[in-house]
Amino acid sequence: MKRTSTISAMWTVFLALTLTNAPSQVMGQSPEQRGRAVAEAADAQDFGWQDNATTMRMVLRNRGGQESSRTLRRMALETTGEGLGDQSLIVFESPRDIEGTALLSHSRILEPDDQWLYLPALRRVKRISSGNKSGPFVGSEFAYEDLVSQEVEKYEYRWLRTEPCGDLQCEVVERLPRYENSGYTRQIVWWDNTEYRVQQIDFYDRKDVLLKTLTSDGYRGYGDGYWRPARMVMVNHQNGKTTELLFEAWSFGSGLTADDFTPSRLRRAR
Amino acid sequence: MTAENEGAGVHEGAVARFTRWVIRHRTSVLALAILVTAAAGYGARHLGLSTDYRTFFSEDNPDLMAYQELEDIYTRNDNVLFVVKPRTDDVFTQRTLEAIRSLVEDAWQIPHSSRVDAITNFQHTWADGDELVVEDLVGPGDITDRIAERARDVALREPLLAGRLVSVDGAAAGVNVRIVLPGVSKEELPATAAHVRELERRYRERYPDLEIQSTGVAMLNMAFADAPRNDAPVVMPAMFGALLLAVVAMLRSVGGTVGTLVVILLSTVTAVGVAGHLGVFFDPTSAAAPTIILTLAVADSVHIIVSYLQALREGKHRDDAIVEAMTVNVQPVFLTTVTTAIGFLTLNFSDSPPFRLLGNVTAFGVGVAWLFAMTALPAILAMSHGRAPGRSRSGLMDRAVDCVAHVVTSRARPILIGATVAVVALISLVPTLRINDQYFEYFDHSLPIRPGTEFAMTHLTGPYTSSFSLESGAPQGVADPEFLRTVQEFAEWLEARPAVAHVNSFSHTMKRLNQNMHGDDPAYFRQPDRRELGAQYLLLYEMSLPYGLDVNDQINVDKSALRLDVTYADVDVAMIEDETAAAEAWLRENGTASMREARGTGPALMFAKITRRNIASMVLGTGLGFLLIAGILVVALRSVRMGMISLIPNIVPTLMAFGIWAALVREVGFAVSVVAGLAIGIIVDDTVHFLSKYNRARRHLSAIEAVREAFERVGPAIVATTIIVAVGFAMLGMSTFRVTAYMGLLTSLTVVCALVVDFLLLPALLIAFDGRRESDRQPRSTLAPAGEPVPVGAD
Repeated sequence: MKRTSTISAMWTVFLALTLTNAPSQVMGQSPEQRGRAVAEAADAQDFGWQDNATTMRMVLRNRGGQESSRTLRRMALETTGEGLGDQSLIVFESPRDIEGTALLSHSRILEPDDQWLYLPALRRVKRISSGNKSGPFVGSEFAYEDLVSQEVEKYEYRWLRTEPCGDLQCEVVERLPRYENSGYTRQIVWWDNTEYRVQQIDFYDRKDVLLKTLTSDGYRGYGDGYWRPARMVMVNHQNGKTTELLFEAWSFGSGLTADDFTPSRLRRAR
Repeated sequence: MTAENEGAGVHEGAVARFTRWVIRHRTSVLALAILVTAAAGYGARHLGLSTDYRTFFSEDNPDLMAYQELEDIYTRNDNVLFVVKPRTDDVFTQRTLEAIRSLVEDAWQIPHSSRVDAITNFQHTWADGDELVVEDLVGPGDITDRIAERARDVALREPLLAGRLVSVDGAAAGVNVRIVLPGVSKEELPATAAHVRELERRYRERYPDLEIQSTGVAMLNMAFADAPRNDAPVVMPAMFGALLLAVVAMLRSVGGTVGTLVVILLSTVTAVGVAGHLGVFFDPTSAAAPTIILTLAVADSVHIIVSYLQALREGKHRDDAIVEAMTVNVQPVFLTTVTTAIGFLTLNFSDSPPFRLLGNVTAFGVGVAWLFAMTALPAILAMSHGRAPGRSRSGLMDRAVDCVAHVVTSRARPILIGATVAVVALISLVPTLRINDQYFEYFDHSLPIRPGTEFAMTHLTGPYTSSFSLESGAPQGVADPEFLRTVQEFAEWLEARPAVAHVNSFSHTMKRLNQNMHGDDPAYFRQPDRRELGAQYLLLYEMSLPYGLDVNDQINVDKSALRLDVTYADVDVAMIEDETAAAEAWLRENGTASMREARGTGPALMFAKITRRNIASMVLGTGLGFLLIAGILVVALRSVRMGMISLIPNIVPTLMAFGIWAALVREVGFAVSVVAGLAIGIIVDDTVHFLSKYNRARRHLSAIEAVREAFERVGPAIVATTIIVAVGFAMLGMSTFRVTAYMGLLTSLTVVCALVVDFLLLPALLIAFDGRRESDRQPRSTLAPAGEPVPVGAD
């Protein structure tokens, strides 16, 4: 990602927004260009965080209200290579039976991710080859593809409208996944137009029927203005289940390096 | 009743005055009747068809509740299953695998599908050194012979596939589509089903060398709406034609025929329309209500018109004939309407809501028919020319009835003995009835669900399943080695049973994962030996699940219990109940402490128990109905003894009909539970007519003479209404829905049996038991001191 292009994109968005709600044609900008510009602005806003870590509690609820929860620690490393996404390491802390189980992902933008799994009870690291980014993330209503970094190139965009969202104004943008095996035909994203934080995403399934809605709240700025939510809630409209992710404080710039995201480090991840 | 009789003159005067008023305002009365009907009938546009097999179970049915509990914990398993069979009997060819892969792709587009599974997109896991590969068994790209052969090797040995998504011999394969209906609109299921049919059609066209059929719970549910839609253009017109024929033949009067047809049409439209205004959803059983109303409404009119024509023949003027017909019939017709309504209202005791609906709509329709017979019918008769038709045609029937009367009265004792022996013999056959509710076979072969299901049963898998929720006793407990080993033993025990075609158990998956994680070493094809390992495999499994699947269809949210599904081979639903009981016994004996209480559940078990549940719930209702009707007869006939005797012709015919059914058909479904209650209200009419005539004649005649008199006066009318009602209910036998067809045929049979009993057993009984009191000149004088004629009777 080149810094200059994102800055110019920010300017176009800024200009677009100062003449609020003017039809996009007036700006000489198609809805596609404007949508992409918003996505680039969001990407630029969250550029350069280098590394972060958090602990989250994942609460799963079914239609009947029964629930269970897990605690997991997640570390991530920003990656800038061509076609590469960020790297992440997830370590389960509870329930006790799965404590220390760790999953390392080197995500790619349009191809299957590289994944390694460490099972402490087996004391072995296994590389997992799977083309399956659309599958659910450890039994939750989040798919892998919802949780990994959302590089601009992963989608095609179309700006829809600007509308109030809570106390803020949001840019509402439709985005179409370019990843062939995506579980979605499209998503509609609400980015607030002050800090470009994702406020809400509607996910449409392969039949283009509303499948899930993600809402994020409790945003807090860390380090150099990197915004992270305290809570993400995914509601599946079709099966009535919800998954809530509750984040403890995030830490940024704690000096993690690529060495911390290698398969051999998995054993010691706990 | 008594009070009315004391003032009978005034009462009849009131009826006569009312009838004359109707005759004077005949145009307005008829117009008003039509207007009322139109207003009510407008409601028919709100009528819906229910599209869920659960309709047949009341909300508090324990079997449904148990199943819903399971569905709440895991997921609801509505599905569509495509069965694909190449004529070469080998699915592992390039062409067939391509067809299946393509069908899987297209099936994702079926409305409300949440997951599509087949051999091609099965998540095949295998080890490659320290790499665990998870991939589609038949991925994208060209399907080479090598890929096809590998797919065969894996699929036929994979317990999750063989016997479920591919037949064990590899000759047929399935594409299973999980359907999750949001339940917001009534158009959801029809949209799904239409898309399925269209896909089926397209693939048959594109692959003429493949046989493609579909079945599944979603398609079954759709059939519940299709059946009445298919029946409506067949059963109703056939019924109407048969009635028209019968009425023309019996009445030979244009005015009478038109009057009858108008009354039955108005009654049926009004009843169905009001049901529509109430927002009712019909199902294949309650959709029989219009046909039944049509049938029963005829009887009221026929009685009135017969009296009217008789009066005309006696030389009365049209209007006087109408007044006379109304006056003599107002009470008997009211009485038979009340008893018929009571019979149908007993259906409210049924555990099955469709029968309650059927009972209530029909009871209402019968009431409406009475209303129109009292108003619209005289109005129409008053518009006719009022000439008496020839009386030739009844000769044959009269002679036949005469003949029966002669034989019965002259050989009362042998007939009593013979009839009793015959009745006892028939009744002794009743226990041989086999209760069997194969709910996929409720539909006849004209509906695609039946051939589709039979195709699946022959080539792939049966539609009948039961499920167990096995508790481990603690959260995360499903990973416990002892628990998993016991589940595996249970699964193996089930698989060894001949009635069981397939067992879907998470223990299979655990074994495979354990092997995969040990470099595919066959020595590790067993349950993990430590709880942590099991829990971590489970996590791995959750991570490897594909789009649309989660572990919750097999494991509950806190991972304390897992669901085990048993699919049965081609066996009766009744047998599934026995199999489930055996499985429950195994669990009690061999299960871990936490799983000893586990119970099998599922639609097959719900239907297996539905007949007995309905019989149990109907016993009270039918008993109350019998008592109420017997009580009415005691009052109406003003004789406790007659009331007692009447119980025999009211109860015996149903039992005889069951006996005949046992001999001819042997199998019954749960329709059997309501026939007794439903039939009594109808057959009691004949008893009422016969006994009232007998009773009246008995005042001054011997029992034998009184029987002859009763035969002569009311015999032909009884035969006529019996024929109409028997034919009407027999028409329901044409229904594509077996429950309705059996209910119609059994009721029809009961009505015919009632005629036999009324003409043979009842008179013989009267002669035998009432005749002994020959010396007693006025046997009923203590009960009916008044010389007033008994108000019942349509002479």
